[in-house]
Amino acid sequence: MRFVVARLARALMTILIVVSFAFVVLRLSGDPALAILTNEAPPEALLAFRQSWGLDQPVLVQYLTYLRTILGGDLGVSMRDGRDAFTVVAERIPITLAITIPALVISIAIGVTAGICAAFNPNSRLDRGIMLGAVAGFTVPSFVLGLLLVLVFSVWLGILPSGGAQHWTNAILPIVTLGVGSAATLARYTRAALLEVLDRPYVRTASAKGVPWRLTILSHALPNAAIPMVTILGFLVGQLIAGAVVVENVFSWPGVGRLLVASVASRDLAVVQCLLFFVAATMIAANIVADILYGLFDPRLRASGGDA
Amino acid sequence: MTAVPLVEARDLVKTYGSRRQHAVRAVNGVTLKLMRGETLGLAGESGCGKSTLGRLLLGLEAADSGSVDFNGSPLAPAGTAEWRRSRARMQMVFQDPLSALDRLLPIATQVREPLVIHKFGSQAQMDERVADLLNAVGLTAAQGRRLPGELSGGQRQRAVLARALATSPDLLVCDEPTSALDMLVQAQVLDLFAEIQSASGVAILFISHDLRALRRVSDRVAVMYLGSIVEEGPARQVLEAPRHPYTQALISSVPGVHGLNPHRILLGGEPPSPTQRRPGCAFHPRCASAVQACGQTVPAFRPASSPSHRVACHLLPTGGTPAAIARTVA
Amino acid sequence: MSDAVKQEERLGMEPRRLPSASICCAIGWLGLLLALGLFGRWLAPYDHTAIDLLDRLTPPVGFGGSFAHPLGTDELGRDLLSRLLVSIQMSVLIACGATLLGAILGTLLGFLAAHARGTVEQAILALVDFQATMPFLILALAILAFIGNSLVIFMGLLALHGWERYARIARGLALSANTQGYAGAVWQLGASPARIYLVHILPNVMATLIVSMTIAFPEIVLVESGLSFLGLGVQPPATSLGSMVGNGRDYLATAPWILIIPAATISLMALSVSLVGDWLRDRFERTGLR
Ligand SMILES: Nc1ncnc2c1ncn2[C@@H]1O[C@H](COP(=O)(O)OP(=O)(O)OP(=O)(O)O)[C@@H](O)[C@H]1O
Ligand SMILES: [Mg+2]
Repeated sequence: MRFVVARLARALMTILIVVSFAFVVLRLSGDPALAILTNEAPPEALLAFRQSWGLDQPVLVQYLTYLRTILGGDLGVSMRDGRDAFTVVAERIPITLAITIPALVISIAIGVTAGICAAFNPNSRLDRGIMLGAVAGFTVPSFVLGLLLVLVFSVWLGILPSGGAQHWTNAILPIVTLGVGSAATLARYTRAALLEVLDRPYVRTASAKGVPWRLTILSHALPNAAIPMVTILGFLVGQLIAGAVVVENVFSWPGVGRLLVASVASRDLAVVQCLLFFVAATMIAANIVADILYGLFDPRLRASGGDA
Repeated sequence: MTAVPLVEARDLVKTYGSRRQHAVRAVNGVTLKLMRGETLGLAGESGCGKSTLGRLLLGLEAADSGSVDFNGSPLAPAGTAEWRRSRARMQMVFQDPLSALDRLLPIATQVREPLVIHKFGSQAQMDERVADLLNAVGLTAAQGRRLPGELSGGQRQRAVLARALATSPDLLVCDEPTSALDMLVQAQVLDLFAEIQSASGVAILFISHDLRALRRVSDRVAVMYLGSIVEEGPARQVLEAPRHPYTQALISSVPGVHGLNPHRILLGGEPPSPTQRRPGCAFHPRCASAVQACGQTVPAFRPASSPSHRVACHLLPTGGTPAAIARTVA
Repeated sequence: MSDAVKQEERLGMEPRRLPSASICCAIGWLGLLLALGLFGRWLAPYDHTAIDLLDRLTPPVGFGGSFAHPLGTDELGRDLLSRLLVSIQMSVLIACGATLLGAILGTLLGFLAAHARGTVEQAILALVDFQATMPFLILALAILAFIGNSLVIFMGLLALHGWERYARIARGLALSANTQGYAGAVWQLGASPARIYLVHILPNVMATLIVSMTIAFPEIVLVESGLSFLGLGVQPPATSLGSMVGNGRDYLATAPWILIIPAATISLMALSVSLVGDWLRDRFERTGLR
């Protein structure tokens, strides 16, 4: 129970910091009234906005008003298309999920398999190849990889479209580009986790007793290696979100990432702010899910009483 | 006894941990005097609060209640500029010299550090002082240029001692300075302590489990049990004619030349737990000769054989002293 | 019997993943980039902004180009070699500066947390938590949207990347040094906090910090080039590797070299730093210097 409370307290703290962060940068940006509303807004509207946000008040009061407004769900209006910022963001979310979820699934399949293969034969040529590939996978920038894929598959071979979202084939290159980074992370992590588990005494004992090597891995090591791997779920989701921002722009995929970059370029602050909170909520949720999974997987935590 | 004591502690109490059930009362009402140039040995089993008492006397930690006077005036709170200045007058020698030294700096640089901190004088004067100090603790100049990792345990402890002595302090608290060393080196380092003490006139609080080490260096000895001092007096009297049942048990457990003492007093009962205190004398649950009063009131400190030998025990007037047992220590 | 032996091998040390040849290549490449970063601007045959509309989109030598423009020209006839040299300088400068600033900031905050304890420590830890939770690219984009962009802001912004790692490491190591080690011993000698942290703790945690810097550096290169690629980083007329790739994007079909050359440079740079970082970490671990 105490664990859950502490976890929620940390999540609340992070939310509070995100909102405070938005407030601070908003204040630093100059006049929030001009920033959130448009330059062409009528003076009465500006005045009303300043009053409703308490901009004539001391900073602390402004901060509290801001907190109340945001936590009350009022995220402002998009400067570019005049609709609720929340609506503008919400309609892009499924489009982004359409490439991030397949990318996550594929990268888990490929990354974990590659990590296991590498850990089966440490030091072999296969292992070195996989690990070098993994290092390359997360050091080659995703926009470089994406453009190279376009060059090969769209320009030279002409078998896949280079951008847009008219047909399901448009999604293939973005998914592949996104998946490479996560697959590389997972491969490295799986290998390290497995090698660590394989080094534990009980696995050594099992194999000394003559249990075949591969069987040992599958029955003992893999479940144990899964425990630390759950903890990188949050990291993976973050990597995917950041990746989506770049990849959607490379392939003109009309998701959240493209919206973010377009809004930043045109300084549509209400939308940027809304996206910031959306990403924060996703990250917090991912981390909480990771913690819960960790609790489910880890027999020690399970055994140490129902209060965990 | 008209002189002002160098250190005078009154009713020191230190509790660790804030939550009620887990609070550890590491030091429980200690009153202590240390005169200039005197060596006080502090004995007691592990966890009884010896190190904590040493840190309180040096002002490294603040006591919950009670006071420590140094040279007649109270210490400034830890971390203040005045407290930092007062460090030139009092120093600590640690149990594990390797972790007390910075692994990346040559020995001589570290011996020089207190001189730099307390602005001892010109570069040349510092060089000279460092050379003297290394010489005094038996290290060569070449050893001074080495890193801590390149010296033996005994040599490192000599380096720590040289650093502690750099500003000619009045007080040295040595917390089990020899327990990380092997037997032969222990003897050498103990001799060094005695030598330094007589040459420099520094007062030493010498904390150790090892009663024979205490006997070798101490003028007076105090014995602690569960945060309180139970017996205190001239080294000879306490170690050869102990009056408190705990001291007697402690001394009888020291192996003599012929192995373990066949008459040693084995302590029964649970080992002490500083978290759960019972009323009365702290030692009574394990004391073979406990009477009813022992479980009810805390015994006061009373002079025993001589006025300077004081014991906190209800049994004192009648408490026997198995002389045969005590002799094994000698 | 052979089974057990084989297994020992399998279970044994982390493999020295990379033959030292690749490490040498990586170090050589980084040295070259650093040299180009320092002096490249003066080696450039042309001004990187000089437009020559008669010489547009010439390919590099070997693909039909001439030695007048060894790496070819872009859509405005600007010499790509000159642009590449200037971009390398910009990218290396920003990445080095940001890595260094981030390390200093994070280490100071970590030491502050270890020294102050209490509320200050909790506040710093909450910030660390926040920074570790949010993807950095999103925070960076938000700041750029709200505050606007300039080279100084951009570098300061990138310095915020990864500060939380240094803060965590510095705090952890300082705490353990304070409670049971040399730092506590020096403290009771009467040393000032500045002396304890700068003369004693800092050199002792340096090795670990340097390893973290080798992890942060390629990440900063990626964030910088990503933002510049999106047109939100380094602004024209200044140029960086990322903005060169962004430029070349429109000519992918007709003049792919505009894109491939800077793209390969970035990838090799980040890859080399990663390899060298892994190798350094291995070495530090083996010598016990951590
Ligand atoms: N910083 C601390 N926080 C919490 N508890 C502490 C702390 N320091 C000491 N204690 C507790 O106070 C009691 C006395 O500890 P202390 O180190 O003074 O004993 P000691 O006599 O020096 O033991 P040893 O001979 O093993 O060094 C112990 O129960 C210990 O657990
Ligand atoms: Mg101790």
